[in-house]
Amino acid sequence: MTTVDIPRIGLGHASAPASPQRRLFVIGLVLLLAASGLSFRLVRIQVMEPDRYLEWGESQRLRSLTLPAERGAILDRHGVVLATSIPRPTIWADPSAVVDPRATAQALSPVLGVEVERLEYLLSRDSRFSYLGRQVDDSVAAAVLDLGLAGVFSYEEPSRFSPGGDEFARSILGRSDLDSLGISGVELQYDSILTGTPGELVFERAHSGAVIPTGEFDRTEAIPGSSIVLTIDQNLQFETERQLIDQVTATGGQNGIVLIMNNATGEILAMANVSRDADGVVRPSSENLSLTWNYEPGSIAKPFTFASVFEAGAGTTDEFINVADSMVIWDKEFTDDHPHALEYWSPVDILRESSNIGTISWANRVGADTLYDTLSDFGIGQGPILGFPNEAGGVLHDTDDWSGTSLPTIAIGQGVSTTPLQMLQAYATIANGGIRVPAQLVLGATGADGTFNPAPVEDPARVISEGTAADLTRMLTAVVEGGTGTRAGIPGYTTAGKTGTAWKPNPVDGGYEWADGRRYVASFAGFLPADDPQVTILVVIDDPVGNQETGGRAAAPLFGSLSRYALSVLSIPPTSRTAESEQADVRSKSLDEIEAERAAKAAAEAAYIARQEERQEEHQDESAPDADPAAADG
Amino acid sequence: MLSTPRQRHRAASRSNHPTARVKPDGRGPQRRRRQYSPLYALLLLLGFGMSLYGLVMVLSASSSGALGGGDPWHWFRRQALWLGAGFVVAFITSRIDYRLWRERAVAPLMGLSIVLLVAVFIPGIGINVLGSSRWVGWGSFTFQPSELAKFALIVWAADLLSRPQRSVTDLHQTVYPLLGVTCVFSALLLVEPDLGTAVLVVGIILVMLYAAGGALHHLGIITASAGAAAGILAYAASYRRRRLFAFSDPWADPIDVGYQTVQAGVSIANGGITGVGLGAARGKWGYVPLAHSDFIFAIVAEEFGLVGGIAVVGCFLAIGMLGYLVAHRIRQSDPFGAFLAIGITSWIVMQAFINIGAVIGVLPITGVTLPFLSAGGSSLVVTMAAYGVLLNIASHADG
Repeated sequence: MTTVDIPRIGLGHASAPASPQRRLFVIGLVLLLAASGLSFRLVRIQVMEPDRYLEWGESQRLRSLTLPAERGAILDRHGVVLATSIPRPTIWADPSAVVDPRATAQALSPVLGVEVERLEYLLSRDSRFSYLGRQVDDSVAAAVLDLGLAGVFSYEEPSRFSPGGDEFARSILGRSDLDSLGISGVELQYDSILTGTPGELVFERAHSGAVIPTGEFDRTEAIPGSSIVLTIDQNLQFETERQLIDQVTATGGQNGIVLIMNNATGEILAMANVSRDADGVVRPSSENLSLTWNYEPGSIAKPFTFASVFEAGAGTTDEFINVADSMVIWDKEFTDDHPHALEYWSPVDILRESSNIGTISWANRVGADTLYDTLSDFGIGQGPILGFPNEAGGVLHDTDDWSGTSLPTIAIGQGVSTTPLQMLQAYATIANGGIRVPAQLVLGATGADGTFNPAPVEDPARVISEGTAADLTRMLTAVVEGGTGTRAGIPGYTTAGKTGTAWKPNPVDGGYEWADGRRYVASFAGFLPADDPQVTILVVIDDPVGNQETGGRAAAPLFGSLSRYALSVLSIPPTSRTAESEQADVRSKSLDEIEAERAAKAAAEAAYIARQEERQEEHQDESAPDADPAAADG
Repeated sequence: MLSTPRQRHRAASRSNHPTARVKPDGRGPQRRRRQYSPLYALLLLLGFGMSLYGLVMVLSASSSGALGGGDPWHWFRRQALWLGAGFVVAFITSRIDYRLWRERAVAPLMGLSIVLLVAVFIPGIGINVLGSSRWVGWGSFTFQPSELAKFALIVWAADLLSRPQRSVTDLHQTVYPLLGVTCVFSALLLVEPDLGTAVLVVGIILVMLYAAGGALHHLGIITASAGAAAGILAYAASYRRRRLFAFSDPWADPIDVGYQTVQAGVSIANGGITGVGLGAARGKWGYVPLAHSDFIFAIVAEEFGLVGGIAVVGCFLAIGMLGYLVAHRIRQSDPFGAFLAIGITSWIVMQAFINIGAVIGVLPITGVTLPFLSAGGSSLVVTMAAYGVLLNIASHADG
């Protein structure tokens, strides 16, 4: 039994008296070392080597969302909205939250108009997200949400909307898909400008997926896309489409094209393309035939043959030659449109009567190379002008490839193909006194901040001399005053223009013979007022039937009607003497008459809109245009 | 010659501790004249500071709603209630003469502890959470017997080691009883299973035996045996081994067994030197598991950075140093008080370092909480009760 004094603290057989004190000291030292070790470890994690942990943490916390940029609108030259984006509800489902796919599909099917089987698949597949209906009507979305189905939701996404209806100017505007990506027309051509720059939202997410409120939050706003301002005048475009539909319907044609240009600036004011659909109804075409269609222009190309004659100094407007009604070159017989006795005609007479023989006779004088050069200079067959999606470029073969009959054929506008826009631009060149002003469909882009950036334009270039242009204008004026194009004339203005009744090549059999005889492309191109041309117009009616098949009958009247409308829209005053009396007549019209005219026009527009809407409902899916681009090579 | 411990304590109180509260005849100086040493004041301040800081951190760590079923105040309210209870209990224990534990409470405490440690396995009383039977309780009231057991064992060991008639180095007088009782406690804890607390209990007893002057070869053998036992237990089941030692290379499997260590590391690294600021920790948003309890140190280190992390380590180190200083001061007059102080101090500091070590990836994760800071119910109250006892010992130590 060991008894210990109190001062010795009873620690028994400690090896040394100081041991207990030393042991406490040792314990304290160990504690200090442990604390140092822990602290050093903290220094390592927090200061020396934190990177791996930090990267891991960021990868699990940081998330980024793309903020879609608002797509720019497409506007007419006056800022009228032709296409814009509006939010529309999209119905989607989280299949993992759907309780009964079959029952849910059955409930949704009548509302969404989608088959039950399809919906059931979408609702039961192994995913957290299924589109059920994109960009549906508000009423449909409301009806779906009213069903209160588990796992079915809606959100709003931008949807393209055309205030003028889905068909108005559709061949120009084109379409964008459900994800707001341009797939045709201006929507495609200027997609990158319209799209803008998407923004980004970076945030830190909790393990549950929620946003950590105290976390990093970085929002880069999306920059909305710029709006494209077209050269198109919405009002003129509307009227042009309306009248073109009527004319194609009336003439029994397959397609119709009208281009109206301010020739001084090259700005295209109206660009209408219509086609007869499978049901025989003529509607605005989804394909922009005025740009994508290579066709043989026929007689409306004759002025350019004379341009080459005058430019080469091979003849003048008052030089008369003998013109028969037919001639044989190599193995081919060329004839005029109708038989006539041997005439003694000047170029003015030849063009007025649209004589093939007379034109060919003059072409023979200048030869193939000169004719080729002149046509090329006018841009015929020289490739796309606007860079529009699928824009064609026409075909004018090198003279090396010409056969013996090529010169006479090309001289009268066959055996060469052109896009309607190339032909329009060639006429505008004559209207501008021989200077080619490049055609323009887009004025520029208006940024989200309101700044306007004009579209780059090519410099104008002289193609023919002013004198030649004046000669041609005089000849074209004669065509309208007393030739094949009289129906294009309007009171008060002098119109210069040319008819064309081109033979339509048969792509199957070759040549120009069809099972039912010949087929035609009727056209009229011209400008007015002739003494100071402001507007250049091209009208093309593809495949008119019956006695409406000539350019003079199928195209010229529409030219006249539209030129009158265009002049009023552009406020171009009449210039000739008769015009003054006409204008006096207009002034003397009673207020009632003017009101009546306006009412009639309004009624016509209303009827047009109603018809459009009716058609939209009937034909949700656009059919392919009936035009046959393969008709190019004749 | 004093023959009973009690008489000896009385004498010591009178002779060496004039400021001590003397019961029951009131012959000593009155309470109001009692002067608290700087040692006492520092310990008091540390206890208050740490527990209040813990309350703030529990709120911060749990307010994301990722815990507590979406109610951001759930854990705060709970912690505030238990902390209030803890303050009351600590106040009481700091006013009860620590010698009364030896005189009146050793047997009841030990008995109750054994009963409760067994009760955790009894269906209807014991509560099994995630495969561990660590709690007893009725309804919403739960109690972790291991907390009480630690305190009981420390009081009992301090009593055993300070009996003058027993030699600390004598196997039969001291070592075997000490070892036997500790083994019983540890075994019960291991069955729960609560390896962390079992290791902690053995550690505390070893430190107490060492401080009391135990023979180094005894200590060595015990340490080696305990280590071997722990090793065998750990290696007996491969899944346990993988989980236990995942801390050494958490990146080998950062989304399964290494998940907790990696997430704690991410949170700590994110704090940098000065931290992301109170309330701004990312780890508590569902990433760091048990961010409000076992892993609250990760949130501390993220919100207050290296500075805050080292401060917390420093505070526990200070509690340790001050606690051992209390033991050193009172050792001359009362070995029981010294060993009790050593036991309680070692408990708090070792538990803190085991917890922090696990959170920062230098020790296995064993589910040991951080005293004062981790959200806890009964464990907080028992820890504070023990701290109150330490304060009482401090009030008896020489200023």
